[in-house]
Amino acid sequence: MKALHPSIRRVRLDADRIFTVVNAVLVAAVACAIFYPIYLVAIASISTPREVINGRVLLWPVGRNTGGIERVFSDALFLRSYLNTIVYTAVGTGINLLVTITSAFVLSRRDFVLRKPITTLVVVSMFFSGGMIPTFLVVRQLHLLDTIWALVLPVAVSPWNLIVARTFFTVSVSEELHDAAIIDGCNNFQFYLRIVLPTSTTIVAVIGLFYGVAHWNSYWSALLYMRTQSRYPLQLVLRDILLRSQISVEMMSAEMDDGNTMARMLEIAESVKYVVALIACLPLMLVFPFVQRYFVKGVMVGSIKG
Amino acid sequence: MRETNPAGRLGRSLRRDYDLCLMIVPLVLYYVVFYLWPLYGIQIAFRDYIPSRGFTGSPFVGLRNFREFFSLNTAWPLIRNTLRISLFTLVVTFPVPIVLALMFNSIVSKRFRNVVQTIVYVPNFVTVVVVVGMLGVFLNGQVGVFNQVRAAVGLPKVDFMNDAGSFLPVYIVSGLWSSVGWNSIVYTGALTGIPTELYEAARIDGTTKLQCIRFIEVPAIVPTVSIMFILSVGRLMGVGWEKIYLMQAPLNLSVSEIISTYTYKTGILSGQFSYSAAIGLFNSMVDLLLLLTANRISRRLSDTGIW
Repeated sequence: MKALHPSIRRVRLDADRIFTVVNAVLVAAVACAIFYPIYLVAIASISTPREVINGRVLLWPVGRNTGGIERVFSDALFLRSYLNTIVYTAVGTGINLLVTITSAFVLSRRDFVLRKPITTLVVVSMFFSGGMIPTFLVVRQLHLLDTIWALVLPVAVSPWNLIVARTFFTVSVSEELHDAAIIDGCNNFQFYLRIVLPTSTTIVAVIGLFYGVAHWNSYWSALLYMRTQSRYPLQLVLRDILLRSQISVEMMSAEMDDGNTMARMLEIAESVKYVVALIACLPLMLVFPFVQRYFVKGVMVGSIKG
Repeated sequence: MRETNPAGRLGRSLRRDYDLCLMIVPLVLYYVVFYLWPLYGIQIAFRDYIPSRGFTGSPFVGLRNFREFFSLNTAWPLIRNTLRISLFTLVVTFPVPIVLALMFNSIVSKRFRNVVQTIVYVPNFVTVVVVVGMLGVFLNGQVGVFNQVRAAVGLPKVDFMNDAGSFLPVYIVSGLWSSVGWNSIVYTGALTGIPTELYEAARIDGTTKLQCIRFIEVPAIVPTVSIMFILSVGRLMGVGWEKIYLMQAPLNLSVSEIISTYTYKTGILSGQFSYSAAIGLFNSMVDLLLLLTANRISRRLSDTGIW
């Protein structure tokens, strides 16, 4: 083989260097563009409302307004819904994990007779289902409307997550391990509880995070099934504040004393929206960098064809 | 002695694995109540549903609900809007994550790469309610930041959220913001699976980085791309309706009313269960058909499919 002429090699190196630099600059630009809206919400929510409305808050906070956060947190309905969401998420995720992880283990047992028919059912359900109206009627018939169960039971299992967990168990739990446990006198249940679960905390974390985020962010099922305002989850209350400008008297009153013109009302309404948006995103954004690798792992496991 | 009776064999296996059977009971219960029962309930699309008589007791009306939908002049605008939104979304938002993943993969500094990836993943966790709320404040016709900037450079203010022409661009760009990073993960995963020997061999042969992308990385992610494409096509008719419902305003309804939002409004809000179940059924049949077609085409072209 003939070595490349030095001048050709240098051209290639230069081209590569230019490519690397251009690529890095482009990626940085994309990241900034994606980060900017979130940053804007953050600085707008601590700036003086008037400066925000007049478009002077673009790069850094202008003025000072710490009242917004206090005002939002003193709102009874907002707090109530925040609490509701925490309960719905905890209960929902608990049920999700119990059913999904256990079932995934069972469906990963190669010698289980019902493995084929049940797996087929699960896969079919990914692509075709009864749809919104029949499901709603079933929930109504079971008298679950306006209860927490309407929010957690119809979504007790996500077929995608179930398949991800099943794939994980199929790959990670070896037949030899299973046989050894059985010979030692374990039954399948003991094997699952004492050997499989303690070694599979990663998949439990991954699946739990997926479900948890889904519950935290879910607004559609609440829109379908919930009727009483005091049982609304956070997302529904957020919708009322952000999209319908239903800002409660409590949030407004602190600012109402000084000449409450329409313009002033609008200013406050807009600034409250920034605060609310920030508070709604904050928990996930603070936690995310620490649990990111679990999410990424989950997507990777899911992309393996199972 | 060999067991020849299959029912007996099944019974024996079930007895042997009784603990596995017990453990799968919750899943089976869930599927019976919340999957098979609604599936059975689809028949109300062919009936005139009366709540007190249940799914099977209501009078049978054949295709009347479907005929009503297609004769009312509501069907075609809905189908057109649905396809228009989902096709444009697919064309714009499908390729971008692939490009982004390739760009991430070419970053040299590991630290820089980690920071950037974390940033682009975050919007996936900002809920649709907040995304649409943010759009509302940023794009507000009078006081929104975007309009302030437009006014500063001499452009007229536009009330984007109440404007039929702006609906689709706003929907797509904000959707890209939410999902681009997250959707790139699958491709990033496929790229990390490339053995390093390939790159080393390529370096010895004197390839440039761009050539590496063209001849090593792109071929390596083609199977993933095919599968993701089939899945996206299969969801064409069900795309993003939670967000579309939130973005709807009286002045953009002519382009933003889609089949699923209409199903919600006629079914849940006005209580016409049979009529809206028929529309829902039509929607999911089209989805299934698209999925099967895409899968077949992909199988023929690249020999990859989801089954």
